[in-house]
Amino acid sequence: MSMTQATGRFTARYPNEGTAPIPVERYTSQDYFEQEKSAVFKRKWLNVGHMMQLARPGDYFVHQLHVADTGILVVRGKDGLVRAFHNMCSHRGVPIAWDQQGHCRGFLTCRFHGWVYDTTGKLVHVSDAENFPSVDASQNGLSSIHCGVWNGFIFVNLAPEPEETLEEYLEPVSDHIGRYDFSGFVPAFSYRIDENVNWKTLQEAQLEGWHLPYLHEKTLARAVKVDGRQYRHSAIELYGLHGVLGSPPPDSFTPPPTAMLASQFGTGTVQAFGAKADKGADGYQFRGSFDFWHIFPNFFVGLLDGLFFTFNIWPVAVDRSIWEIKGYYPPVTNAGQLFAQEYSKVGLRDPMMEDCYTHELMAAQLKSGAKTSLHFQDEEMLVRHLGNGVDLCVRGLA
Amino acid sequence: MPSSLPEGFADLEPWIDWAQPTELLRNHKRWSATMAESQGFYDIMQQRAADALSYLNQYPLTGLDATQTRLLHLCLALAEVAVTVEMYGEPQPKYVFPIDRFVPVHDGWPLGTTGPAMGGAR
Repeated sequence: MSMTQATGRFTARYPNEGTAPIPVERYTSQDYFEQEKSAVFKRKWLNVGHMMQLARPGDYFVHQLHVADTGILVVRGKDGLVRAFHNMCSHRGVPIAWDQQGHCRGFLTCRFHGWVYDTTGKLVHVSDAENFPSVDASQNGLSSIHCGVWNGFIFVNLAPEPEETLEEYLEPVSDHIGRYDFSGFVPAFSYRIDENVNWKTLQEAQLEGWHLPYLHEKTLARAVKVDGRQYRHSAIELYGLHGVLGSPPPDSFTPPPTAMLASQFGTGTVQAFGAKADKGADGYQFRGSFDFWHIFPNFFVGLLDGLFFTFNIWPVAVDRSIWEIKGYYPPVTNAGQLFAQEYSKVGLRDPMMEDCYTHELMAAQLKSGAKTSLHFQDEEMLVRHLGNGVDLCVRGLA
Repeated sequence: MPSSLPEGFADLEPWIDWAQPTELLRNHKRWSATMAESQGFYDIMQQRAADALSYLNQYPLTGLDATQTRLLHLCLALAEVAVTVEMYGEPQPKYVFPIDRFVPVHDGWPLGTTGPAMGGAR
């Protein structure tokens, strides 16, 4: 592959994204954060889970959405459909489900006073009903939230009436990502990190690979080794508010001994970052050694050969966010495969620990006010695109 | 005295402290080891891990006995110590977030199953 010292490629392709410095205030201002909550998180479709969490009718999970001051209950009904509700009893507001995940036999009962709801959210039993003469059960079901499923990924929309359907929202990327064969994977790992950092700062290190040769000099850098040249993404493509990064294949990659051992026993780093088999005309077309899709505002899907992983970045406060990391592999059936998976997982984990360390240092320093703006270069186009997308929402333009 | 590892793997007995059952504990072990200990464990596992995994592959992952499970945990610890030896060259790199805040939620999942157990309170 020809990798030139290309400059300004993406700026030329996407002139509307601009080149101006970015105000620091977007990362530190409480007012701006409040606008993000209402203009972004209470309007756009948000990924909250995967159908693998709801394998059987009656399965449910609870997800805390701090950004909207609510916990949501996502439940698969007897009819197989997935529905989402505020996790809140109509009697006095107690959460209906207290476990983070569970299974019910078609009904959920409030632990406080025994009101019962079915999996469509209908209130089917009011305890001591004669003492609630003013309560009309048909008007007091669980408060529903718009919910949709795409390729197994479960999304919710907190708007009373979403401006777009989930299909419309994902239309710019769905035909691309949808070519990836998501079948045959199971949850393999999950991390949760509670960080003192703005949610955009947290995401930005994942929206550019240019920092890999620097920050991850000891770890990931070898998988993107660029001999004597500047780092150049193999692709950056913007699709509406969404986008994708293609990671450049290394000029040279000598797997360390443990990587070679792992590759003898299962799918690991060597295969995942290696040359991609041709998936045919209808198959997924890799743009790089791995492709990292960003679904606005806070969801990532990383596609590799033989595994995929997701990030969900949840704002808690202007300076605090939760990073959920989930990895999916083919089912592991023996010790060798488990070892290969462990090695691959640790290889992804440690660079992300380096990212986290950096996030908190940055977030603390941005508060100083010493700088009023930040700079993004051409290879940081997807970082700029996130900030631009958020700002368009805040200004009522997207 | 009965060995804590399967027959044929007694040479790994001096390294049994590395046989920790969760990622959190294996990572703690990695960070608390000296470089000399890390290099010693890494070196012997480079020689023995392929044999150990080939041996363990004869058995269903969910049916391993206690000695086999310890051997598996030694192999998984290689994934951690490999970072010390192959990447950082030191057990305690300075600019890395601690695992106590980078919580491996999957440590609570049953071994060799398809993801999290249902119905657990957290």
